[in-house]
Amino acid sequence: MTWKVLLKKEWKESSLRFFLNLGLLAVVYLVILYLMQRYSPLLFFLGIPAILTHVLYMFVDLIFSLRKEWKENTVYVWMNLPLPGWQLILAKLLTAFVQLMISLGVTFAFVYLFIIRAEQLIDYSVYREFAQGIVLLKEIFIKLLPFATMLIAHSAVVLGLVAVFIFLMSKIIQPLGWLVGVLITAALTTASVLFSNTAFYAAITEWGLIRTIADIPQEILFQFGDENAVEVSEKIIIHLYAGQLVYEGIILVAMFLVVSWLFDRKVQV
Amino acid sequence: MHEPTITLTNVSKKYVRQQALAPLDLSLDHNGIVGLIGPNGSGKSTLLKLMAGLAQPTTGSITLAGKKITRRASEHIAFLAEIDSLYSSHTVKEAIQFFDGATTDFSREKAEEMLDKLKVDLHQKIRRLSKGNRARVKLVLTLSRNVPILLMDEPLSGLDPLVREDILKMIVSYVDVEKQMVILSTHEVSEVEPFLDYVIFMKSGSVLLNEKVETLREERRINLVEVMREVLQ
Repeated sequence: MTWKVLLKKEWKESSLRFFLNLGLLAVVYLVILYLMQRYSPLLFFLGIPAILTHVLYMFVDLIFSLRKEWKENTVYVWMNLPLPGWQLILAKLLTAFVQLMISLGVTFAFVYLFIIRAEQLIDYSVYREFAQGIVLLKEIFIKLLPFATMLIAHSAVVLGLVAVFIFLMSKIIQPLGWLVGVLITAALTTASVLFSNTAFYAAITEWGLIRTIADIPQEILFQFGDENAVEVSEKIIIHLYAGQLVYEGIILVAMFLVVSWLFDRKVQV
Repeated sequence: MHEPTITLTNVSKKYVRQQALAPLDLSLDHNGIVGLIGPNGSGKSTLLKLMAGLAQPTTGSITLAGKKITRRASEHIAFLAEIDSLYSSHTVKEAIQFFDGATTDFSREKAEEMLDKLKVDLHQKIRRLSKGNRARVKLVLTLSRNVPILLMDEPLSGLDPLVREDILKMIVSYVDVEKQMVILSTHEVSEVEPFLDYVIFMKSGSVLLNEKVETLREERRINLVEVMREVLQ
């Protein structure tokens, strides 16, 4: 019952934002389809940034969500609910995550549609020498889809937690608490990147090989007439280890526990 | 419900450069209705927020039954904000369902009974209610929580006399003064005087007086408004 009302409330409070986002994406995609039809089938590439921007989805959504609680003074009710902070924050995270996945799913569907459409249009355009490239790109797109979804979802959740952390810091330290939050995040990110390049990191994470994503076409040859050629022959080999998933999972849980603790102990209305 | 004891030891609160609360010691261990009275800017709201765990003291400590007060004190403390704080997209019925689902101490029957008496339309969206009805709904949802401590920040502020009367009637009728402590901050001393068991006078972030109303009347032989004038001047 508690989860039901919390999730229902979060969904209701964010639904306008969510549907506006979907509406805006739909308009952008229709414009891209029109541009492909009108000018060049290669304009399907414009759909790719729409996929990548989803990395920021939860960051932006959670900032809006938390800001709304404070701006509309509902924070007095929200923070006075006799429930642990982790539950209140998780309800927000889950709602944002579900909305992210729907939006991402719609975006993937549209981008796939763009590629199919480009494939159909290319033979009738002046860009027909790219036909083979588009076929290969479609294959890559399908093969990378699960991995890309996982990577975007993971990055979005991390950034979502960063958003919660920075926002809560702005309510703990006044003024400029947000800056302290940004600086702490930057310092921890740098430390994390440096750590991920160490042999110790490799030792603790490179176990339990789940999948090697290596059977991606290793050459995409775009012919530009007879003389020019752009060759992408970089080998794309991605190893996915259970150890990495466990490590990233621990980091996520640790971040979540920190923001929950701050919420219960330090945040001020 | 046990007898609540809120203890503030050397508690002060500073917002950036503004001192909202001077260091103060206070112990509240009596059930009944406590009036927190003082002019604007005297620190009443800050004190209530600190007691609810919605703000952190700059110095000192606040405990509830010996345990440090944090936001999690919400299991024992219901807080009513002065400003509109309900989710405006909810209907009154949805607000009841929300409180019922999110708080284990909520009495849905009590809430519905009160709203029925007040003739508030359950299907109306909170945002479409009049200011008076929003205040009534807010109070009903707070009073329907079966907790030992109810903190009410200016529940009568900015409301017309009829709404104020309704609100006071509800507080008197639905608070179990044997088991609950209600601390309500207000300017309307004469209006609340008949219902108060204890009074705390505040000025410039300091507590000037914390006394049982009956004792004050017996000792000074004047009403609370006059006591307030004496104390605050």
